Amino acid sequence: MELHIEDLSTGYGEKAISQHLTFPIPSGQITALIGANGCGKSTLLKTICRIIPPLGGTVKLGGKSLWDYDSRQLARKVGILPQNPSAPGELTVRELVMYGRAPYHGPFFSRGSQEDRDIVQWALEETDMAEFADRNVMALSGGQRQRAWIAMAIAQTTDILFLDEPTSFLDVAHQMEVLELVRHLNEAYGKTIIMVIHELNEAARFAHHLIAMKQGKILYQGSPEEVFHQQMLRDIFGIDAELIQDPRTGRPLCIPYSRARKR
Amino acid sequence: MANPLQKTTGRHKGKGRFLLSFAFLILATVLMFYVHLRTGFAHLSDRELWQVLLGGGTEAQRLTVFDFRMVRSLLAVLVGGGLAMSGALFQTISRNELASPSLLGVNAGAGLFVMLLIYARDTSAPSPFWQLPLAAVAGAALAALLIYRLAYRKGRTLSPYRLVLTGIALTAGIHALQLLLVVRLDPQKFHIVNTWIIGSLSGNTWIHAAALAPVVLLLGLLLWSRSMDLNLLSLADETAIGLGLPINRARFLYLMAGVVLAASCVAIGGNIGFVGLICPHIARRLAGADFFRLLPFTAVLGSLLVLAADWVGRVIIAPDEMLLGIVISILGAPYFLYILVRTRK
Repeated sequence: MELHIEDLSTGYGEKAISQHLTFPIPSGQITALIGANGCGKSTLLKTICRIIPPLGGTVKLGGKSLWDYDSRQLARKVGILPQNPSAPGELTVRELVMYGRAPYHGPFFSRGSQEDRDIVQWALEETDMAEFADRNVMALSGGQRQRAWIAMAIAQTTDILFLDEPTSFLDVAHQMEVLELVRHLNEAYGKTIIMVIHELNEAARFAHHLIAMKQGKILYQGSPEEVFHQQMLRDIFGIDAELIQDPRTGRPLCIPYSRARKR
Repeated sequence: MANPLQKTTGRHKGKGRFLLSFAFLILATVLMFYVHLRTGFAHLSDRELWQVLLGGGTEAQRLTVFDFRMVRSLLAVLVGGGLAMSGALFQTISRNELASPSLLGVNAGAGLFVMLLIYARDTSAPSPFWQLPLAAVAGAALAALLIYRLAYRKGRTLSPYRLVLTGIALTAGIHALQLLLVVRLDPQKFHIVNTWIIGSLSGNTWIHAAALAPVVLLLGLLLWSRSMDLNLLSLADETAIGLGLPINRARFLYLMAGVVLAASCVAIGGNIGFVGLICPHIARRLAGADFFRLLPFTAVLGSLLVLAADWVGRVIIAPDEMLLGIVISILGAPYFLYILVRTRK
């Protein structure tokens, strides 16, 4: 099922951040939202994944507005991994991942079936978390914790997955680990993934589609090869940068030198 | 992958360990119930007590056991269980393990209404039994709704922090009103108010038990059947929304369920708020975070605590009686300090 963003305005309360955005999100691909701090990309992501209500316009999934879905039905199609999520101190990884099956349970006495337990085990193995299954989530290291949350999100078995800054607060090795896992989920299961990401070269390397924002507006969108150029870096981030081709992946790579002078 | 320097505080919480500790808890509660039943002003030996329980004994003994003692023991079970469950709800909804029903103005609101009622009523005529509990429930519900309304902002999810802060502010305001009222009460009325505010289970009848039992049992069962909703509420808002929980509606409904539970229990047992603070906290350590285990565990623990505290209050300065609320506070205050010290680390 495809996501369509139609004439969407985002913001909190009376204050609009983005207005009248209409743009496609390619199915079965990884889309990265990029832009400087405060450009509205996180607000846009939260609106598209129904966390905050839109100020206008709508997001349609399979021709139907997200806000017309039953919340449990929608949770079988669209998963969310929020930025820096929290859990009760006593919650174990396996319990957390089992919560990912909640949208499939009835409203009363929701307990996991054998099928649910199999899916939970699969999610734990996909994320290399099986050995930590009985540990408390909040007692894990940053990288392990992030994998536990991803395990919960994939146990939800949705076609579409939103990730809000999945690599922030992680060291470079764990950043690679999480992004490789994201790529694996996309390649092996054809999941549509939409994420906000700060590290530009990671965006260019792992995403198929980039959306670059400034002051609530989308200035550039397209493949990394189309979008990743000096003018974009100057317009979006105000930096003067050199671009080279990544010798291993062939994707564009930027080396920032200084803040661009205003012309 | 595991960092060997990382301190692993994660413990293994198997099903077996949970069932064992739950079985032990139930056994302890049943024993405490018996001990509680055995204690009172009139002396009854174990033999006599069993005779009465099995349908024998004299008329006076039957009256003592069933109409005085068993009512009180059952009320201790219900009040303890209800307050502990509502504490677990409040701690989850406010995402604060130091929260309790009193945080939402339940105790303050109930106290104010009870005080107004006693201030206004004519002491020369006997008052109907339902008057005081009803006033307490009404005051508690009104205070909780007012706090919810003030903390809620349109178009946003309710912030637990705003809820806590609004609760503290409004509770302080209600306490000021109570102080104003207290100085206008005559000594006899003051005594009634004071006994209620400190908390006591004495002087209740079967009608009180019959009114409280359905509230605690039915709401408890309903909440237990919806334990996955409560699990999702204990995660961050965004995660709960992603897992299909309609967050604002759920938070409001479970908050109100907690208020009704706490208000009904407080109406019968007085201000024994510590039960709702301590029991969920201990229960989480022993039963884990999953409400399917946590809720029954914390309820039985609450029953055990109130049974034990009420028993201690009756024997410690016998033949006088120490008010239940004082015993609970003496037990609860050190544990509260212990939590504070622990959470600072």
